[in-house]
Amino acid sequence: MGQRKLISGNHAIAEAAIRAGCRFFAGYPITPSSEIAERLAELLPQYDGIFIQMEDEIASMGAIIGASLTGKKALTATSGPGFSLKQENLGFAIMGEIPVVIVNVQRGGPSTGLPTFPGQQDLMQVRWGRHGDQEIIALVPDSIQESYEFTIKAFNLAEQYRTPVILLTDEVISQMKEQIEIPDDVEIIDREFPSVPPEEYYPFDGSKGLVPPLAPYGEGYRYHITGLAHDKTGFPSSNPKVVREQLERKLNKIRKNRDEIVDVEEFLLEDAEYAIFALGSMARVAKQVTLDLREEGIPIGLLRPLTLWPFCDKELINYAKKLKHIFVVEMNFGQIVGEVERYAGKYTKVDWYGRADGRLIPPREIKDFIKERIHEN
Amino acid sequence: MKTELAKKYLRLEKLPTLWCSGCGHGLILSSLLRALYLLNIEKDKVAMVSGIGCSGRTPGYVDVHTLHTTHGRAIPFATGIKLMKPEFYVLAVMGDGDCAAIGGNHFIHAARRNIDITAIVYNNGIYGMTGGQVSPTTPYGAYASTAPYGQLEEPFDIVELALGAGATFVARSSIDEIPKLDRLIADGIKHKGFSVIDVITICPITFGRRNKLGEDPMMNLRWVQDITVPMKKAKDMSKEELKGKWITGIFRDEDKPNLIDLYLELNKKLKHSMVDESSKEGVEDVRRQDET
Amino acid sequence: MRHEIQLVGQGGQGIRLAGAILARAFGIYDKKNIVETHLYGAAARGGLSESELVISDEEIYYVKVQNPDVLIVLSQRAYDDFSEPVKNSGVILADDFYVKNFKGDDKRLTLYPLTRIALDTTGSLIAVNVVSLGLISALYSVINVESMRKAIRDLIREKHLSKNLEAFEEGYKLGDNR
Repeated sequence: MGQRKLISGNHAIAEAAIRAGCRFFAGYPITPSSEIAERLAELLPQYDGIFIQMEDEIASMGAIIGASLTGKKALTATSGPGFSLKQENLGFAIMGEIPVVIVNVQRGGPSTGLPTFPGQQDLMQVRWGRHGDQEIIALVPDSIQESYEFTIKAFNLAEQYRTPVILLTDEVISQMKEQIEIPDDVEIIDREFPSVPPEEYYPFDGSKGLVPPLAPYGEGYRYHITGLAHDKTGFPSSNPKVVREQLERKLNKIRKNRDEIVDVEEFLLEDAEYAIFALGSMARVAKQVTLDLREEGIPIGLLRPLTLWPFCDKELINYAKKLKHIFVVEMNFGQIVGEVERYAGKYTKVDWYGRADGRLIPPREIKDFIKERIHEN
Repeated sequence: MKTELAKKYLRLEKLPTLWCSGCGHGLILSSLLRALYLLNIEKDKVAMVSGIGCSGRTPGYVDVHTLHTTHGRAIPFATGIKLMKPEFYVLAVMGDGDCAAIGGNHFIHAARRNIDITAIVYNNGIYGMTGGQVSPTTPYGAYASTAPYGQLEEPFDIVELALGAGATFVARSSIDEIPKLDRLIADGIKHKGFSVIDVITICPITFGRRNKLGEDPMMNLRWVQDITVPMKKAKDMSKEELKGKWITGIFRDEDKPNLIDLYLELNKKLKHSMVDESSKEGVEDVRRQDET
Repeated sequence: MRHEIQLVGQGGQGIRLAGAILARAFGIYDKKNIVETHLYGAAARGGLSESELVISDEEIYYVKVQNPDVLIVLSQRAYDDFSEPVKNSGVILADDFYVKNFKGDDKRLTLYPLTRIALDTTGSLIAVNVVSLGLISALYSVINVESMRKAIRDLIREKHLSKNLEAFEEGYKLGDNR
């Protein structure tokens, strides 16, 4: 049994980052994520790490990429408006295949929106907010325990697949306090060091696998990284064959490993005829709804993506084939429902309930909606 | 020395450069290499970071740790590297648009926090790579593709900007005084703290052609001679006479605590007084909340 | 059983700290599942301040209070805006100095001189939070008074501790005497 702790979501993320081996944080204050920065400002210098508050969100993203190239694990944290600004250099990290972790504590949008209230309106900006084709990994915790565990997982995935990973939480999960169990043992994955000498090293060489090792600065491996399309050496190339091959490898390292990356929670789905599809803080509400409806005799369960991106298409299709009806519930005006319809729509009915007014949608409303729809059919 | 230097620091297989004939950027690159050579700096201890534009291609030719980032962002990336590799020499190579327009905020804050990075600005007063649009250092009245009737705005003085923001080594030079430029860059690299070397250079193709200098590099170089004034000479000139001129020389060379040293000191101090990670999590912030 | 406790007042009345004390007493000392949430942001100073707790032996899924069992209101606005959802069988404990206007005949409501006791025992208005905690510890059997004392010792600075414990006991007596 690990240590039991009463802690807020933001502080859990900060402490888990240290546990994961993160030794660099660059950020810019933004509600409701600032407590992550504040806690790491305290903790990092005690662990020989560096905390820096940069002049803006763009600079914070740039700084963590620079820090990561030295071989250290690096983190930044923000909320929707800040995430919009980070997109530019996030795209660079994807192109340069540089492992970093970005926390997005979602608040209500668009624009400045509702700084102190939750939202789930960044699901698509996380996926598609940058220009160009790319895959991204995004994890969505629904508790503080998961905030802790997923932070470590985010660093692991970033290092393993040499890619930025997003931890997508929201104001509710990040600001509330609940007890967690700090696990005694956690798996920590570190970056793979090149197995070849510097003269044979190419930072984007896919010949030995989809994820070529990234050499840390200062170890004799002097290479070039650019945001331009490049060949295996890292130098610019506009040769269509080279461009396509490199881009395909960058996409495939996530796509072909999707079974290793994607995770879902199946809550009371075994005998279910109906299911709710919800994530993050709304999935917690949905669990309550599931239990309440079960008490009324409705055989319902919950399918909850723990990995928002890549999307849990296979898992969803698998259940869609068995279910009479899927109810998507989200704190926005219709984002993830599009994906659910895309995969499950062929096999079953998909209905949607949601809104974005800065408040968790209470269980009663969702219950009434589901019962009404079940009744209608 | 020349071939030795070239062999030591250049990625020879990447030559020739993509810069147009007559471009001044190659002169700055060679100055930069001579500065590294003069200081006998180990290649494994150098990171060269750039932004976007013609200047942004510089790192590609140099055999050190090289990073060609997004437009205007060389300094933030360089900051992350320097903070985690204090023993590195970190160079940020920027154009005038990189430094003073899209990256202006990063530039002044790096100066304020006195982080030990050497910023070298390839200042040709134009966006060359994108076809000759006005930049924040385009002279008043000069022509550009986005100022077909002449630039209506006053240019930024990068030296004044750096001085005002607190940079601890600030110098200006030009491609017309190469041996001096070598030395200035070397001084900047040696300096502990944020150093800025503003280098006046030319773009015959997109600036010269539009501003009655033509594509002839000599004509453009003469223009550089005309608009630069050594500090000594400038002292005896009136404000009127100095209008539209860039003064060259060392404007500041100051010893001041830099961010890295301060941080390393803090880390050392804290190492011996680790805060107890008890279960009283979140106690402090609740108190802070309610006591003021 | 799910229990819901909500505290509402003005910034400067120690609402957030009171919530943290309750959370600690239940979560750390009584080993219950708890979730503490609060109104967040600039409102915390001068404006409205709120803290809410859900307490349960089972897993807590819906993290916000829906129909509080106990609501403490330390300002008029707190009463006006937050009293409606309180359960019919629940209680609203109001400070008699700041809360003066009530909606009709509210059977759930009782007034207590919380601010006055805070001033009398500690000389400070902010101690109204621990007086309130003392009161609900006496009135609400779910709360373990020993755990509350321990949590107060953990969370209140040494300098202010004895005064605050005294204020807590005064609040406790207020409920115990009824």
